[in-house]
Amino acid sequence: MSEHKPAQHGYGIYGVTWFWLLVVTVAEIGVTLLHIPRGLLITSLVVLALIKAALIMAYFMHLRWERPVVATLFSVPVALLLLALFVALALDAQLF
Amino acid sequence: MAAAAEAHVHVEHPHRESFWTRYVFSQDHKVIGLQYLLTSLFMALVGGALAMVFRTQLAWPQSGILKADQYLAAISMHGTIMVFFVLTPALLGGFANFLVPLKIGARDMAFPFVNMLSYWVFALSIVPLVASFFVPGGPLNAGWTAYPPLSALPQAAPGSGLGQTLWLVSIAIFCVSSLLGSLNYITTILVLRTRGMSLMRMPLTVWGIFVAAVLALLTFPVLMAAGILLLFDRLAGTSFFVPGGLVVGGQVIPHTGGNPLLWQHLFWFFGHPEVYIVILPPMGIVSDVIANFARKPVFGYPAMVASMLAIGILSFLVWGHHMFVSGMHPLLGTGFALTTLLIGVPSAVKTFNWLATLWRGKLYFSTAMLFAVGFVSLFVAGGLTGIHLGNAPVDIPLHDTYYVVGHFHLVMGTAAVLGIFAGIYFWFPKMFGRLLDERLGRIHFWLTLLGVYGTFFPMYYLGMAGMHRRIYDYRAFPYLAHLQPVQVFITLSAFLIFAGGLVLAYNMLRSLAAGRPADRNPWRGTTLEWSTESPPPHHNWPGEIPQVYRGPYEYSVPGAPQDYLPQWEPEPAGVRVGGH
Amino acid sequence: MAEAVVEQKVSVWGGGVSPFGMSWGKFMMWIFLLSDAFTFGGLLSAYGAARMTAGAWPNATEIFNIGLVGAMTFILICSSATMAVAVNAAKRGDHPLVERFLLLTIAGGLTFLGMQAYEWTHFIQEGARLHTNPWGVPAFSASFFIITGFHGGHVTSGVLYLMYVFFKARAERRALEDWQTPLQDRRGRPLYPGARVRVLVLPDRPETVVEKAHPRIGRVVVLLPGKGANNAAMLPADAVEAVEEPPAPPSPVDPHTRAERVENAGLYWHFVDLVWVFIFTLMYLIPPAVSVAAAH
Repeated sequence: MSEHKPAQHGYGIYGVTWFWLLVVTVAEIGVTLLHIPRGLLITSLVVLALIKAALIMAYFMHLRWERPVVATLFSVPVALLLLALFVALALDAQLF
Repeated sequence: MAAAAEAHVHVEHPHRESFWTRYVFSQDHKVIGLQYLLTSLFMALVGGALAMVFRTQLAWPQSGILKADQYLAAISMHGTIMVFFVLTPALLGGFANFLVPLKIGARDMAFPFVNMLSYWVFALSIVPLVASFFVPGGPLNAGWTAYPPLSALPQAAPGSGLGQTLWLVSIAIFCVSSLLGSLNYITTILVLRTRGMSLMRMPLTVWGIFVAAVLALLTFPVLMAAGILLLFDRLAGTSFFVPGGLVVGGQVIPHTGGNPLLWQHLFWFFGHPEVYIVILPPMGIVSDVIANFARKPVFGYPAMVASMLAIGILSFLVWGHHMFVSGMHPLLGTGFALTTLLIGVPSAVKTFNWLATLWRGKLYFSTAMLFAVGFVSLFVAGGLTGIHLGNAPVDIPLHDTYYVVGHFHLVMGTAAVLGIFAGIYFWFPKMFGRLLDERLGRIHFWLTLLGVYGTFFPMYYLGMAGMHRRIYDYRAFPYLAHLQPVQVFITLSAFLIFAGGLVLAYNMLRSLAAGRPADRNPWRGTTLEWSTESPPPHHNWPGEIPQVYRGPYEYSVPGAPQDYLPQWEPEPAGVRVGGH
Repeated sequence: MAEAVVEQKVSVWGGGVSPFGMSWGKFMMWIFLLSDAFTFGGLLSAYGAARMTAGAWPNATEIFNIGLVGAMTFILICSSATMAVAVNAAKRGDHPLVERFLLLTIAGGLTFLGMQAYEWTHFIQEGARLHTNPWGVPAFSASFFIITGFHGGHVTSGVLYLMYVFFKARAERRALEDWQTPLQDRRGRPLYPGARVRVLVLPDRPETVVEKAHPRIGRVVVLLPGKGANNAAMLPADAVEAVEEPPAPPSPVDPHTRAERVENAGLYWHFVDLVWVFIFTLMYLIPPAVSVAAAH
């Protein structure tokens, strides 16, 4: 396995990632307690969730250290296709 | 280098195996491929026999050989078997397993055990399906798309009872098998190619299988999710797909608040890519066969690859065109009509490239070539009406009529079948070391082609005349009753197709026993599978895996010693090879 | 390697290499996860559609104890972090650390499952069933049970998967340690020179096990034939006279294979965490436009 490189970073980065994931989680619960318009609330919740997802994928799942093509192929199409499915369902669900 | 080399170290071991590990629980991709192929051909006989029975009912409704619920069960099972248990496993199972390692230069699939598991899970999924014939109420009545509420309420129809539940169980198991298969095809094609086999040197069959495997990987899970929810609706009283206030048999059903369109969206999110899953591999097979028997490189190879990728991507975004009359959001209707027309573009690119490959070629009409050209013909005859149906306003009067039945049977059903037949005649010598009989092959071809056109072309006419799908006895409608002679003609034509299938079965059995022995390369082909023995030994090449020096279609190379340059031979002196 | 180069321009897509720079096992895990993402995507989209179809919807933040759900999220994030440490340790070859952090991760997973069981029990006691609930929106409890149940099933299989990896890692480490134990006779004396011995050539053995390097065959360990590791002894390598076929080392010892088994399990585990991020947001936190109260 000539391709295999040992991890070039220490364990500290997982602590940092863990810390930020907790911060974002607390922020998620925090914004639900604020009295802000529902649209803004949903937007911020979705953005915060995407930040968490990005942190997990980049650092825990090591996508940051894989080739860029891997990170792109494994995230962008999934996100776009599921978004398309959800948008179609949502438009129709409100009609029914 | 390392990844590819690793799998190949265990070559020298002499291979001793019992009957069971060699032919039944085999981990050899060639055996698994043949298991898949033969199982699906057998299922094709079952599905075809069902069609013969309900076609008889339709031609002579007064005979009443089927009762109404038996008729619905027969058409539903015909669709299910043909889509899930014939086309999908024959292509993403049979040909994919047999051809992928041989064509890309690998000893086997990346995960032989997972591969074996995929076949046996597939075989397991047939059990509940066949069992549903023997339960009270019989098999499902809801059609192969299993639309709720018919499929969600056990009291809705005789087949909506245990038969429908068994259908869902069978499909869920099939989803698992499909997942195991696609994981293997994608990994093998991307990681295990031999030296020199760059992506743009892969035969188009491999490209077709690759794109189809990606579609299967990403869409079968959605079908599985929908199936799980439908099972809960049926067994646990949830109401995902059942709206409130329905009255069945004089009784108000207890479900409330569901949305039947949700099933249609989830089903077709899978269902539309599924039709490309069964048409992309035949597109590749046909390209290989046409190039070989025209002795010409495939016209516009990069465009062929690009159009396959474009079809693959767009196929995710067209599912709503199955729902134009469902009362879906108008914005969605527009969007889906647009993407549907767009997907016609790469399809047309492929068609014109096949024609250009044939143009001024040294054509030799072997049976495989006949079927390949027949495929192109059917793809055009069926595909053009897809443009009509993709336009929402045109679709609305034609929706769910025989026009649609004719369209998809030509473009995706029988076209894929003809692709499979082309593949069988082309690779049978590689599979078994013997050639199929060409004279019987020609009889098979003409029976099939005439039968297919006789069956499905008049359906366009019936559809425009207002004949709806799934009508048990159309004589109840005065404006349809006089069309009975057309129905009789269709049924007689369908008998021809089935007879053709029997000819193929006889041909295969006879040729297995007494066919003309084939050498390594009976068709003077250029791709890697022709570089090894027929049938190939365990691990495919007795010695080293050949290295690849050029693209897959170097036919009629000027100045070359033969009229073709195989992928595995180094450049002869003084010959300049164009292309890739 | 020189003859392997067929083209002037060597591309990673050119065949003979893994274009993703990862082994096929890891690649398969990745694309399996893509597929699984679509299962959850289908379920969550269906949940969204059901919620919109229903119009009014109960406010989950009032029904569930968000503190508890927050704690569940916390546990899952912690277990993901410990898993990441285990994967990194496996890549470095620090096997005792791998085992310790695998155990921590398993403990996190079990804690999560326990909390989920508690939450379900509570919810069921309040009257929620698959087909009905006190809030009058059947899809609310149905989607909750199915989706969190499906996720819980993934956590359960993840725990089982991690247990398998843990026991496998421990067994391998122990086998290797036995195999590497300095070889002595029963009384702890080194073996006498000239014994009929088997020789293992181990170019990458840890220093501690080897006393001396042989100029020709490299570092050696000797085993007394037929008596197993406990009766074997360490010899000065230049005393070895008889060279026989080496016995097979405990398999697999390929450090890459060992590391990758942990890494693949890690990918699966992080994915389960990833899905929870979306379940947490979509099913617990996003408030309904019109909320309904329980009908008791």
